[in-house]
Amino acid sequence: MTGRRYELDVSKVDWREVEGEIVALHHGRSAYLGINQTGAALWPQLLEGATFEDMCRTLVDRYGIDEQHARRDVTAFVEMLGEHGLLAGEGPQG
Amino acid sequence: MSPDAAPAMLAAARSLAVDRVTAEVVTALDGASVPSILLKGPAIAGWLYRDAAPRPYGDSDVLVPPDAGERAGAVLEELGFSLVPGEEVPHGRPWVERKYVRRRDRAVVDLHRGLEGVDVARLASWSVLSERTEPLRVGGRDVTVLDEAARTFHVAMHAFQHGAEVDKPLEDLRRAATTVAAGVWEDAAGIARRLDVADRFAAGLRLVPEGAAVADRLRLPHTTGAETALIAGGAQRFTKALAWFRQLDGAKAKLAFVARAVVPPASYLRSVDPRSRGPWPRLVLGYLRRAWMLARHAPAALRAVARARRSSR
Repeated sequence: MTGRRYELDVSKVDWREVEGEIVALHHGRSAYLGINQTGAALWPQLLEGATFEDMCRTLVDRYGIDEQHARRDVTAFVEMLGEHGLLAGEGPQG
Repeated sequence: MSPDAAPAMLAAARSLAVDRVTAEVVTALDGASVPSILLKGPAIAGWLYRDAAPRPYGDSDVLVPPDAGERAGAVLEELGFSLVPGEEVPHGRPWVERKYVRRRDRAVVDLHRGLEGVDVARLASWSVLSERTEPLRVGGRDVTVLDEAARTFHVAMHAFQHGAEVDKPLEDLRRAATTVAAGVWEDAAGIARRLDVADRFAAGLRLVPEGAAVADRLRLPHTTGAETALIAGGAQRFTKALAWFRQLDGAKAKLAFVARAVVPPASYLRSVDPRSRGPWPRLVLGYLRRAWMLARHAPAALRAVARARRSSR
């Protein structure tokens, strides 16, 4: 997980940011996703492409949580995005 | 997403759904070789409301060339949309805007061949506005929207169209008046002059204090024609009819117009007055109701015209 860059497949999703959270519409599945503030904090990085470590660092810096907690949150988030087919390229590894 | 989600989130979700419909419609129009310009909606939300709660929108406003209106309507019908019965008597005035609704998802498309308040006797908007566009990503594809100066022009005209009674266009106008650069406003005023609606553009701007300041800086006129004063005062349906009536040539054309207004085709009356449908006595009662309604409102309408004429001098 650590070296790989994760990037949103923007061709599959439209979104709006509202009060620090994100509501996204998955085009192919006609499904809405509600992304909480933690995910919303990682969203801009995923638009550009970011490594797992980058995203963990963002959560640690922003919320003052420990690294283990951050790794759990980022893992859960990228796995959720992968299950919905919203990550460009292959799904998450490790 | 549960119904308990914050209203702003729900509004955002609805807007995303509208964007999907927009993308679907624009793709279908492209396939039928009908060029289109997306008006308002995401173009305004992303431009004037970036720092605030998202501006909600519930329909797709699409402008097409005047000679492509029927073809665009056919495209919408192929997508499952139905034309909503019109609110205007078919006097012979070219239609400017038509509403289409799709029952299965309650999607709404406002199909424009022009802009209300701009295109009264002739449909001139497309020829000018189609030169003032840029791309915008909506619903997963690039669509064509107005460029900033043309959007600025449209914001003022949209406020003018609805007058002082409808808040959303006025809020758009306030934001544009306080955030859009002076040079862009000058460019927008140039568009208004090209379309020969500088007085209406000014009247729209002067509906809010922030806009009045812009109008003064641009040295736009204070005085307006009677029709302009009427529309800015909110009498747009009546004034559309009046404006069309005034440009008719000859007594015969004017008389035919009045006759159709008082006694419209049965198909029109049945479409706008459900109680007129069914056996002929219901249709007769429908005509009587219409005559009564016109008689009741005529004095107030004529007083409004007289007031507007006095205030426009």
